[in-house]
Amino acid sequence: MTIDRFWELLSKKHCGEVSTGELNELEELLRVHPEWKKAAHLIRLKFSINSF
Amino acid sequence: MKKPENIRLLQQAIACFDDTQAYKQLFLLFYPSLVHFAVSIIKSKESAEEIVSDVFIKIWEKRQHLEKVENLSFYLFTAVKNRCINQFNDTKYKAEININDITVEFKSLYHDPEQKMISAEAIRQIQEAIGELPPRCRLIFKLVKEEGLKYKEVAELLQLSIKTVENQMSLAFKKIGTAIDFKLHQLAVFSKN
Repeated sequence: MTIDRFWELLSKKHCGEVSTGELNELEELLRVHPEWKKAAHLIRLKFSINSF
Repeated sequence: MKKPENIRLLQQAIACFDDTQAYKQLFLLFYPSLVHFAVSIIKSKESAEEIVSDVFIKIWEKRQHLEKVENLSFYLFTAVKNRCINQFNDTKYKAEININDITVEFKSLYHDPEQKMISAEAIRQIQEAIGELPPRCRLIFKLVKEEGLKYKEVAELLQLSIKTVENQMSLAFKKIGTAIDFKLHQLAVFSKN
């Protein structure tokens, strides 16, 4: 469930749909699960809203 | 993705100055994706082209009102969808549009010069991953990421809940993220061997 929430928040972030509270939640999830940082990093690099 | 500020400039030029060049640019900018969207609904390229052309004729006829339109992308997609529904109602089919039946194949817009920052390989990987998404998920993803529509607008356009759009977008990101990661891993293993 938490990993699904991670993808939900990450997608919202890259689509400009995330709220400040959700952004904090995403940061907290990445703090608790540092192993997900790689996925977030890949998405940011290759899939950022600015690049597309 | 189409830049909202550029669309806004074209919109103003058409509405305020009857600018035919701006109208032509707007047409060229939206025509391919609107036709693909219409084809996905009515399954006929000829009818789809006719519908999109009719929408653009109306846009020109009512250009004075164009400035009041807040989000032209959403407006155009909605206008095309409504015309498709009207076409259905005018025919013997009397069918309801079922989002699950939509097998949209948008022409990819990832050929913008601005995207040179991303390597051709990365774009290919993303496109491949997008192509592998389930049809409904792909449609929602493309409306958000290529057409720049908001979750709320996609939900309204496709008669879905915002939660469904959120779920489909997170599914799309999950699948694309996993695909990219997997391909990078494969590349790393291949390089070692």
